[in-house]
Amino acid sequence: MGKSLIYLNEDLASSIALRFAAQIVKQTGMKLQTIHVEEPEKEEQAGTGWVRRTWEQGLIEAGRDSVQRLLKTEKVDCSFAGEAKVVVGDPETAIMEELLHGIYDLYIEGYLNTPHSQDFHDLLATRRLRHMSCPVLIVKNLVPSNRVLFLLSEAVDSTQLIQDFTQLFSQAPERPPIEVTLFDYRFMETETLRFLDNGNSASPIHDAEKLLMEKGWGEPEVLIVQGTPEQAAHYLKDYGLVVSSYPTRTSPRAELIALIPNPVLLFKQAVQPEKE
Amino acid sequence: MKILLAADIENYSYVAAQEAARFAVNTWADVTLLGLEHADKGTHEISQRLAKALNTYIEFFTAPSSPFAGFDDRSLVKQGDKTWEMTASGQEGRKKLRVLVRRGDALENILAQTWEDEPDFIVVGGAVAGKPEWLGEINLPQKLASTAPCSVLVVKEKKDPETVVCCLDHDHVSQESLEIINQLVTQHRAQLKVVGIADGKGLAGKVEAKMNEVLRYYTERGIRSWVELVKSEDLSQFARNASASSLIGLWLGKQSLLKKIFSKRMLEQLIGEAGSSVLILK
Repeated sequence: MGKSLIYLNEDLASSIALRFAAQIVKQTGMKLQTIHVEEPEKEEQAGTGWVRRTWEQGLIEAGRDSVQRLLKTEKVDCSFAGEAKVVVGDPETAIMEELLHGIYDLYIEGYLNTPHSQDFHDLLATRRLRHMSCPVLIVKNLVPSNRVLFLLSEAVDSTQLIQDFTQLFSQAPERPPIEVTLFDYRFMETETLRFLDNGNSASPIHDAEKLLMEKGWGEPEVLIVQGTPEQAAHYLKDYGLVVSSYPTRTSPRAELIALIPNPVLLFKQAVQPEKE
Repeated sequence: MKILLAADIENYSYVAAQEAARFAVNTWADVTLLGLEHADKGTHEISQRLAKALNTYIEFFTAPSSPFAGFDDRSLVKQGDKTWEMTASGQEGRKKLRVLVRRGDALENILAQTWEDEPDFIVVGGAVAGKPEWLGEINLPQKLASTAPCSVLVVKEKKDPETVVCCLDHDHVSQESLEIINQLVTQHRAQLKVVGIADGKGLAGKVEAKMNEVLRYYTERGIRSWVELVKSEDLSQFARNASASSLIGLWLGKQSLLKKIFSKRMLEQLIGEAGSSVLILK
């Protein structure tokens, strides 16, 4: 059975992430492993031997209590892989080590969206996400998980993205009732978002459409759209989870992923150049 | 819930009356409709124009299926030198509508009625820049929002907001204010965005906890709610941008930093420039 790792703190972003993660792990048939990292203040890091071990143990107990309080408050209904892992140290290093040793299929964390897209780009640039070995789900808000939108562009290998996404659901006890949309985004400065004709059956989006149907996910809605990232982000608010590949830092798709308030599930792919 | 609707004869009051009526009919609120007239009318009877406007506003509340149904044989009875109260027969509905007229300084009269009625919130219309304003009183809605002891909804032009954006920086949120927002979101079929205001150290723990509570309250009621974090130094710009198409709500509690961020002048500016309605929650 697959496993997801969720990074929790006792805060709003983690509450939202936990509630959304519970929906996703149920749909995929995975188990959820929680991790919390107690980051000591620099002036706190003193002592050796027994003194240090006692001090660390105190921090671990406090961290375990905070995760327990969060789990008790949120009362999520999903299957857990085990007790919360509580580590003292630097969160970047602790999460990377856990991912390396734990063999996870998905990493999840919460994020409160801001009007500045740079804040999200900075999150994607952190060591833990840059070196991530599995797909990453960043939960910005709580939305219904039964609407999934694949955000595609010429830089995304759409069939690979579909393969990777459906692989996540391969252990699901049954196919979840999810409505799927394929959204081919093309940047253009326009007054309003433009919806283009999707009649050309040779385009990669139609390969993705065929693949989804072959895998039993039904016929998706197909949209080819031109506009600014702001216009597209506004439109996508009506959808649920947005699935795409890791964007390069300066592309319009990266800007769109940063601006959307929806949760985003990102898969690593071989980097293909994106138009700036 | 108790609502005070303050209205004159201008178009913004017509729009505000429609908004207040939709709200009151859906929530079965107690309503006082306060008609306001200029002091230079002396001690004569109230003008035909105000009487006509009031009758129009009353119709918004008293449709046959409304809890305020029936309000016939209307007559304004003088109560004092500068006050009138409307009597009516046939109020078959479950709720009673109270209609009053006060002549004189509009702001003073609205505040006087507020102290008397103790409403949960006041509804007033906000004039579009360059159009006639409240009986010659410049920036009345802005002054009211700053001075009233209760929440104030300043209704701008008749436009359904796409989103109701509520900004929070403290942990005192009244049940009434949650219900006002709930109703406005439902009434306009809008989405809700709860914005936490972060200072230099980030979002305070108690604000996060309150935002989570607010989020849970609306999610349980099937209202799609978004959360966002805004730094205090960016808030006035954020509010100005959002107010073009969203109804902005500001929780101005006693312990609120928003009071410092939104000085009286900035609050007046926001209400004056907003393209959509503004809700000041207290």
